[in-house]
Amino acid sequence: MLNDVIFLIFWLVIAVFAVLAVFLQKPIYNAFAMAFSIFSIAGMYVFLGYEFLAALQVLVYVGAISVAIIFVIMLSPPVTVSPKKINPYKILIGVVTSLALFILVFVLYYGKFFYEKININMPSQGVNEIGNLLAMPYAVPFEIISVILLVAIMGAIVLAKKEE
Amino acid sequence: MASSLFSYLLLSLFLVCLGLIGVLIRRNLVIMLICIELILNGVTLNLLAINKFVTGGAAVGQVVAIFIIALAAAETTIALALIFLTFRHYKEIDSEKLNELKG
Repeated sequence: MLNDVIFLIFWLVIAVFAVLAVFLQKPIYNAFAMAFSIFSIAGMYVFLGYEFLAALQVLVYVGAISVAIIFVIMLSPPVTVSPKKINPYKILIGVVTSLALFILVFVLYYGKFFYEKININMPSQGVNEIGNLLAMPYAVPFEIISVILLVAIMGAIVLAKKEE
Repeated sequence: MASSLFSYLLLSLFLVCLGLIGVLIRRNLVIMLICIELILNGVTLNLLAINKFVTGGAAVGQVVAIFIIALAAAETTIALALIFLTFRHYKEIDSEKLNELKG
């Protein structure tokens, strides 16, 4: 019972802050709302039994990505934003596309998964298994991801470097 | 409620659709990037919930989720560098005003 109440609180916090992250007007507020929403998604992972992924989520998303976004916003000189009129045609396209996707997938889920229960008390496989998988069967994808991260770091430095 | 698969799937679907709306109607490049992060998180949550339901939380699904998180970090790095460069070059990050190809 208490479990359900805490779950509902997390659910609502994620949903509300995601809405704020999309629809607020100043980028710094959007960035903080996104950080809070993503931090709460780590709580969802704890509910599902993935403690390691929850820690990773907090480290990477809240610790690195949100900070990088806030850093870029702070680094940009203030730009005077005139109150803009948003093209209503564009809003129509966005809302219709998104609602169509929502309804389509919702109908698919509703029939198939509504009555399914997952046994969240059963522990998920832990860090040992993940380490074994990353060391042997998934070693090549792991190395490729490492190279991609290295190239991304170097590319970001090269792109953002001041030209003489 | 915490043990029903549908609530996890509904939340992830909500995040994906919200991010899609944001990418389509917002015009600030930084906010569009934030919306892409929301989409990626929704997809990861969906994958992990289904993983718990089908395999009881096997490590394979968690490995794929780790890959998604790492790729999201790389993507954000490059995108932020490009946004910063665009801002320095054009003094503008409004996606509707960046429509000329003059270098």
